[in-house]
Amino acid sequence: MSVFLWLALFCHVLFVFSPQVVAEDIPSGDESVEYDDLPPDLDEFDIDDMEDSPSGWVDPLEPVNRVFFYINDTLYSWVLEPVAEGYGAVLPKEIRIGIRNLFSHILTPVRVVGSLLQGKVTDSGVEVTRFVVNTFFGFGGFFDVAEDAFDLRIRDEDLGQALGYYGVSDSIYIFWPILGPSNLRDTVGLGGEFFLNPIYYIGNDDLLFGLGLKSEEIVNETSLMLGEYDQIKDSSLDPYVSIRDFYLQYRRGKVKE
Amino acid sequence: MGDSAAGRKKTVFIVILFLGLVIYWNEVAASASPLDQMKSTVDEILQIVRDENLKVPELRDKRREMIMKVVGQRFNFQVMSQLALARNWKARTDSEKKQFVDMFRKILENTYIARVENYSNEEIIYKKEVLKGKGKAVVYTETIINDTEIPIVYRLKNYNDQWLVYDVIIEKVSLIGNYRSQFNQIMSKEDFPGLVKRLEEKIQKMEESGETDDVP
Repeated sequence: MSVFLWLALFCHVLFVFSPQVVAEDIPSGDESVEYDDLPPDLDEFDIDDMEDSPSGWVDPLEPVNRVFFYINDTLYSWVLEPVAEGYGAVLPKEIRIGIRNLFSHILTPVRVVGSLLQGKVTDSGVEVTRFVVNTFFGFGGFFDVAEDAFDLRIRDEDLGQALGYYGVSDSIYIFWPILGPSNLRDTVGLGGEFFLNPIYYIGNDDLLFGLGLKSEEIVNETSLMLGEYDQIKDSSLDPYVSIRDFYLQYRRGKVKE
Repeated sequence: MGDSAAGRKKTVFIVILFLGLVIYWNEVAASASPLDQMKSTVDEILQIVRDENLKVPELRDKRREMIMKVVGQRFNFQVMSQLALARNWKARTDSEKKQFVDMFRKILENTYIARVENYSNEEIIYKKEVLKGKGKAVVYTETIINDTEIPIVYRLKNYNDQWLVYDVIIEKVSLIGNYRSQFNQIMSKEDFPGLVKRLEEKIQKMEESGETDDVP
């Protein structure tokens, strides 16, 4: 009897005085782990061989990229921002969010194919379900009923991510005029997505229609994130490098997901 | 006699068990979880930001000071600076290190204040915390802006029961990692004096623009 007593006591004392029991990898709360795609922990690197920039990252086009960056930056503050501000002042936010939902709704094929190519069958199923639900109950995609009522969040997959999944490297950063930051891989992906975009099949004989729609999409989106770009720019010492790193980290996170 | 000896042992056992529990619970209470500590800091900051009485131009500096004080208790600017400067940190003299920490701190504080001002009406959801071992933890939060969920993740390290932030990850992008790539590029072309000059210019610009549009 006393053997058990002392054993119990011993275990108990051990438990009480071992805080490291708590400090293990115990996730608490929501365990759906949809966000476990963090960039590397900077503190995990040995300070001597700390990578300066993420590995394999090259920017051979930097001089050209910087020129386009400058042009886009100017276009943004002189044209896009004021237009989006006026647009936002006229249209209520709820409508602009609805328009954004519509544009995103149309691009469902990109996400379905993007998910399927990465073997994410469930995600592509979610996208198909979202499409059906939002088409019939969300006024053709204006409202995101699927997320609001059924918690079916958008699965943000595309062809660039699918290529990344197959190991295509994200090296060679390209800053496109108008389109902004990209890389060789994502540009190829974007080219493919062109053919997955229903608008291409509806309006392929009318260039003006397509351009008009694209402009509306850009202006609408910008009106919903006014100030974001300025904030990144204001807080950085070299906005070109900051945006480049931002894009790189963001896309790497997306591929890891 | 045998009975009472066992009884005494039992009593001793219960007393020790009880004492142990008391000690254990005190321990738990003293070292609040990283999520709780993070939440209390953010709540405190939001309380200051949302205080209408402080939103007058005359109290601008006081308000900033109050925010900075709370921020300073939760963010480890020393480690952040070290991680941002990476391999260039070691080559610095002690006074250079101090100078750099002070300047980077100002940059981060101004950036943080600008962000917080924007988020002042948004709800913050605390999703979960993950203890990583080696005294580290990750706290997952989310704010919703214009119907879009923005994940904001804090990396923290434990120092004497205080969890201090050493990196912030917004939309999968590490803030300190982003500064690291900028600092590295500037260092490789302009060296440390060039970096200091740029930091000085940036801080000046930030503080000037803060004076005009900090108070809504």
